[in-house]
Amino acid sequence: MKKIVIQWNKKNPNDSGAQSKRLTGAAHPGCCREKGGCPKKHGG
Amino acid sequence: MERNLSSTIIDVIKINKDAYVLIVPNKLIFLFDATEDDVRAIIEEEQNNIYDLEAQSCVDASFEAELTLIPTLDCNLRCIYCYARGGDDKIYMSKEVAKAAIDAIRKISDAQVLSLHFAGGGEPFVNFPVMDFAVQYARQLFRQVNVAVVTNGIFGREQLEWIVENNVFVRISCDGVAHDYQRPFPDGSPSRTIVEANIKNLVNLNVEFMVQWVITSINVQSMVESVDYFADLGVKILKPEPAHISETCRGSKELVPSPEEFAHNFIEMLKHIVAKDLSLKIDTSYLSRPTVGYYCGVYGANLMITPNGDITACIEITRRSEPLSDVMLYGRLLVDQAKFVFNDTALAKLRLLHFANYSTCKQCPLRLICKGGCPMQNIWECGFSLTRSKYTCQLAKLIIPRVFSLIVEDLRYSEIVFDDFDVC
Repeated sequence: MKKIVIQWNKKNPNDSGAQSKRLTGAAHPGCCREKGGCPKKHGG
Repeated sequence: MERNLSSTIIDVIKINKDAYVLIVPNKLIFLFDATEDDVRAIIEEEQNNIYDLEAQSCVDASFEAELTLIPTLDCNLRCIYCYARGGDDKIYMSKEVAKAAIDAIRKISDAQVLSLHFAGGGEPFVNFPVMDFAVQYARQLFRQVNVAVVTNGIFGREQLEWIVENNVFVRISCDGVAHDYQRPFPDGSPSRTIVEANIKNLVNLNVEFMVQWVITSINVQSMVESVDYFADLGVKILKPEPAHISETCRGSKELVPSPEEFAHNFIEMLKHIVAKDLSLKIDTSYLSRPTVGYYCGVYGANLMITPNGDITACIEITRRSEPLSDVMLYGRLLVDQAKFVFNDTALAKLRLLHFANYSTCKQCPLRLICKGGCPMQNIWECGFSLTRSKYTCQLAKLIIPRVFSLIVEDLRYSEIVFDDFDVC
């Protein structure tokens, strides 16, 4: 068996993720990021 | 809050006869040449690693303060699918409202950092003086202010310089080869030349930005073609999302692409990016870091201030005359007191909008990734019955397993749709 793990938040693996954090551009302070706002389209 | 996640939060998808993906909070585990016993053993191992996630608060108090201002409902474009009917109302936020909102968040937060976002409603830059004022004023009250703007791309040299000077993150809308048809000026004339020039300006000035790309039944077949267009412009992050037409939108439901068409072209687009080795990342609401959290800040984390000083949980509802505003406008900024007041009844309803409360999501293996989909879309389709939108559910089920299949074939796909992760 071969196993590949994609791991986020390695420093805090049990972080519950208060909200959806988009997978891409996660480092950006963008509008759709983990701390509020709309992942879908405009705003927030 | 009635959230009640089932005892196991490890989900499994079988990709083919001996390949599986285990979906764990903060982790995707791809297993190849694996038996069912292997999968069971890994699940057991992972369950031992996860401590009581449910005991954690869903609202992390360490978050920096975040405020979104909607400077205006006015707009200089008339996009055919606009969710806000931008431009129909000439309502502008005053500096007094912006100042009171910043004062109010200062009062309720100890944070040193403020994320200050500008969004529509209409086009924020149409009320640029209030944006500039708000940023300068916020800098007096917070040690650091991170600024972001969602714009239609119709702005001039002054705004571009402001973006650079204030290190603003930009989400700019552009619809690729269908842009001129889908995003015209009020007189019907095309807007692509200006938007294209501003995207090039952002590239040349090294501004961090992403392109919001609305996919309709009109442009869904040209997604691959548009990807080449965006890559040629120098775009690095693309956010294709299917148009959603609600009661308050401009445009008809015929504009919504079918889930099959969107999913097919989305996957073809990913294949094209890999085949041509394009330097592009794809951000979509249908994929997210697996967590037990909410889909978005609709549960009361969104402090989005309308031009009139209402607090909305979703940017789609900004007027008291709109349906659902009794819940979605869940608070009010008292301008004279610089204070937020909240409607507890509305907040209680909003806090239920978690996938663990949706009956259709309880047993779904994709729930940690799609998180029940856009709550507003669920509400438009099903009211507050905590029922998932069939459209977004179908799309998630069409897209997520196919993306995992691609990753199983070639890990380069993970670099396109994921970010900020480690491979172990």
